[in-house]
Amino acid sequence: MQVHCNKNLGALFASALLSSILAPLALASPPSFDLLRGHTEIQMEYDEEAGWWAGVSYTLSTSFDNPGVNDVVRIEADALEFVLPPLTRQVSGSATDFFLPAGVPIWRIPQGFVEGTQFLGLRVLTPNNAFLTGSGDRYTPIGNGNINLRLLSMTGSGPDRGGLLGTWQDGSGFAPPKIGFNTSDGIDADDEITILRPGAHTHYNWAFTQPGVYEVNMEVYGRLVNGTDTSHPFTMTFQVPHEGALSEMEASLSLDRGDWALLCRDSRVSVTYAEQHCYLHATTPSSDPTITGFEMPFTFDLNNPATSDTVGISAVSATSLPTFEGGVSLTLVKHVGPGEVIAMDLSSTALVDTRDGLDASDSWFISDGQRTGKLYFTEQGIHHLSFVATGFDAGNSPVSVSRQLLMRCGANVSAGHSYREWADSYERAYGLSVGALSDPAGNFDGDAISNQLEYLLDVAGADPVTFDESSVSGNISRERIGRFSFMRDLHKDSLSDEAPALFPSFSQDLETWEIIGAGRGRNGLPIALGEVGSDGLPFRLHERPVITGNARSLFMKRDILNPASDQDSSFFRLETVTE
Amino acid sequence: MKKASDNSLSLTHVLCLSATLGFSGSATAALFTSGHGDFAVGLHDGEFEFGYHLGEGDDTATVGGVIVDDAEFEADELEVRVNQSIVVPVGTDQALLNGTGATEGSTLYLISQDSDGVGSVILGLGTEELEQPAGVTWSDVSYTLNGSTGPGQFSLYFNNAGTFEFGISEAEGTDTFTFPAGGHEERNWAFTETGTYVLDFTASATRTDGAGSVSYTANSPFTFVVVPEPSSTLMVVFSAIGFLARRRRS
Repeated sequence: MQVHCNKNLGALFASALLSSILAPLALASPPSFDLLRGHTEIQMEYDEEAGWWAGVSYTLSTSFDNPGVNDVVRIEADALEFVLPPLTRQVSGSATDFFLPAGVPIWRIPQGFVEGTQFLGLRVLTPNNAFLTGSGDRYTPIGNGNINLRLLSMTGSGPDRGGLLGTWQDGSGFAPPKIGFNTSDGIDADDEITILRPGAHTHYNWAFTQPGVYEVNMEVYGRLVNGTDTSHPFTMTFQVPHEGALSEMEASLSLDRGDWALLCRDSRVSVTYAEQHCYLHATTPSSDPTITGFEMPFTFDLNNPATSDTVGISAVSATSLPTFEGGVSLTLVKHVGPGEVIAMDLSSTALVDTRDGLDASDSWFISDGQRTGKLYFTEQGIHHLSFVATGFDAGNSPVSVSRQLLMRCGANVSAGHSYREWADSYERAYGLSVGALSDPAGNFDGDAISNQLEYLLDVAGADPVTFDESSVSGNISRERIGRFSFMRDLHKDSLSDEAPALFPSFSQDLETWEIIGAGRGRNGLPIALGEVGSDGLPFRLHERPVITGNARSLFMKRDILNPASDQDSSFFRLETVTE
Repeated sequence: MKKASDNSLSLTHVLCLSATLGFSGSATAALFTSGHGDFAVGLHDGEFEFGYHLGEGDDTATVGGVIVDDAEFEADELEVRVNQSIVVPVGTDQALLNGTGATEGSTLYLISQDSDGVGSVILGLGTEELEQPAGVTWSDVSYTLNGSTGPGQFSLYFNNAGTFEFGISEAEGTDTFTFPAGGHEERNWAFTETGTYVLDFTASATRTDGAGSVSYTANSPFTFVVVPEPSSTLMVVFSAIGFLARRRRS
């Protein structure tokens, strides 16, 4: 695909013809979406006639080419979630000593602008002199008045696993930081951001301490000049993604309304992942004297307990068991990776062994109960394991067969592996000469997907050696035309726009392409530039997730709704940079 | 979600746009006294501009007693009022003292990064206008202080969770820094003495597209008027009659 750039861009030309019938379908979509980065505000408004409004706002345009055009979009607080991207991951230090010891992991939305992260402000639109000045029970008529923002409670899987929230504001450094919320000592009247004056705009740091979901229940309040207290509760949801990198395979299968899923649990922190949303990382040298390479423990059962978080699959689907009179089998149908893969149970029975090729024997019935053992990889590298699940009736005839279920594993190669590690792995997997895949801008298999894109889309099963547009474009859900789906691997792409970075773009004429949402140089803008909901407004450039499950990992499925739903056709592609 | 359909909620006061202000070309600089503004760079009709953006979205700014939004000004069309100050406490981080040129017990005059823009300005760096559609990239923007006039020492820094990142420090001789294209951030602007400062800045950046790379540079003088901070009682009075007070200054 020719790319309009002198950089070494690779492009996945993934087009979808969109008909006019799409508009009503898209408008019927639920309003929920998320933001990964960009400049937004928690906006608090009060008007004597309209009363309170509190939610999120952002500015569509910063060009000022059309001064006076009101381009502020307001979003209801319960219509979106803030997802904390990789660059928010830090270690606590002196600035957080009011609620944390030093040296523990935190995820911080910074007060200042950092590329690839949220830039979340507070904005107050209230009339002068509508409120008294003060907070709590202490007010004075002096001044133009103010409102305050207090924390009422915090719910969700993040706080359930002990996650804390601290908000504070770094100033000039000559005075102590202004501390807003601090849940380390419980939630009480001290947890508030006070003296938000009419017209104020300011930014705070927001730091969380555990992965999971945080429903932050707040209340904006004030005392009107006539002495009446007034307040407005609202909830903002924040998501700290799970790493999704597991050192042990706790696998199961689910079947919900005909849709099979291969699951991996992390019992330690009560998370269930659907395939592609996690990465199994074998780091231990093999303990079997007959097998070289690396191993990891596995269990496989048909026991799907509810977990606090589900990623890439709904809680209902994750707990729906496949029940067949003749049992359920799981068969390894494809292995792409260097060397061989062997799954051996504790009695040293090989359940899967590719050393003698792949056939029907690389399969086991898992209705017989839990199987426990070790998974071995004979060579370091990235391994794609594709399984097919089958349900049998009483006569042992297959009555339900799954699609191919991809589980990605790394043998001594981490989830955040480099391009070089990736290329080396595939070169050895296919017996290529050393360096055959060394050029990120190259396209070894001639499938219109550059090596760099194949690297970024490894999470979706992309293969740089096999002509496999289908393995990637399989994520373009043709039965749900009107949206373009793809996987973001935030272990590799930090969203900083630096290489490697993934940019979805669209075109209506195959000549002019526009990056959707935030992209290079547009980090100040939200990644989702769009209006979603049932208010009848046209869609704008917009990326939103298919929200399956309550939580996220750093392997995210993303959706783009048709940004030109009034047109006959739209085309999508993914781009990347290699420098 | 709702798309704002009018300004009635956001503006309880008269909103005047830059186009109606008549500042352009005026030899008299207007005083920017409160609200949200940015040191802004942008490429307009092939011209690389380095001046101010005042107001953004629902935020506004006050210039010469008039409220403006989405307004652009040349650097020499404005003077920025600095009316906040602090007595530097004993025990202040040495890096902060070194960078600002302040001493313990001295008075430092500030536009603070945590200002809410009410009664004083909040001033940041804005590079959002360096747009990068597919095939176009901008380098980071480089800012250089070429020289200054004024009674004291100037510094420009960011407090990043307790780490002080000085872009400019006249006390230490730091005169250049970079900021990414497409960004926006509030900063601390510190002055050691009251009076008028004229800061001669250069901003430069390189745009690259399929035709190659073009480097742009713009040089602009920015004026800051550092006034003693009024007492709290006086501030209340000023807020009530701010319009008249600013008119007199301008």
